[in-house]
Amino acid sequence: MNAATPHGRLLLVEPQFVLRRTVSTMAREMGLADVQEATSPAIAERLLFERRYDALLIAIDDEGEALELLRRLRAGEASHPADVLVAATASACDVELALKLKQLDVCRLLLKPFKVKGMLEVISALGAPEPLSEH
Amino acid sequence: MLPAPIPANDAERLRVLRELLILDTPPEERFDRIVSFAAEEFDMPIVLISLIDAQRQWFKARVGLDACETSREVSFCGHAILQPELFEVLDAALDPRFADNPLVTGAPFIRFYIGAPLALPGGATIGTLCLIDTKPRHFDMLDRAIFGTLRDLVVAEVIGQGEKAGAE
Repeated sequence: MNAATPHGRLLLVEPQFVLRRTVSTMAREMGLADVQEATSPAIAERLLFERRYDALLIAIDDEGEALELLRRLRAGEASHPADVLVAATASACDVELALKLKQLDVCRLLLKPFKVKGMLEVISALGAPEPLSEH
Repeated sequence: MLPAPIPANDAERLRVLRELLILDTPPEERFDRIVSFAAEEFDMPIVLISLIDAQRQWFKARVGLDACETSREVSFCGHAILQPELFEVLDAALDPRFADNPLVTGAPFIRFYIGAPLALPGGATIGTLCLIDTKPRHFDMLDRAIFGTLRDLVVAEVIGQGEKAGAE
């Protein structure tokens, strides 16, 4: 598969190496997005400080770090435009989590077990209509 | 049965494989997680990282198979290393090259096979990442692309450019 021109810049926050690397490689090759990888919400916050992204696909961890990052992002405390598109993955979702994700304006939730194809579909749906501005 | 052919460059290929000092080493999580991931991603009962030695194929990582090696002669992966592209057998029971292969007529009763050659940067193909099912399967283009990406992860680990490279 030949690499295509990516549509936008996406930050993928996923601790599992094989999933993260496979999704990022495929998304780049399919031209869905210019994907940067982060292994944790802490690293993601640093990257959000350094660069601007069109979308964020983040794994919701049991420790609540991902939700805290999203809270800070939406509150304008993450040195990044607060209105970035966000999708999430999670191992499970109860009413409490669903409400939190809704409050944080998470537009898609992918529940385990999910496949690479499913994550690529989410990234495709997140595709920014315009390339990133020069930031 | 068509025995796995021996490529013209087999001596050089074996030299490269043995210099890696990977044959008969213990299981490693960096390889095990790739075969486990592939088994889940493609719903495959058997996934192997198979290294083709002179007389045998030896499995560096495996899901769904107890044996740690088989003879090279009966191996599907011995065929797969002969070409740079994915090697696919849609239904081994209907393929004259494999229909009477003991791995088809007996355990593990292979019907579907797809192998991705592990070609190192120097050109030597040391083995495969392969998926096996006991029923015929179809792999679409996206499946094949994802599988090829997983193969690239195996090669990166073999040459020491795995997880440490690229991620933050």
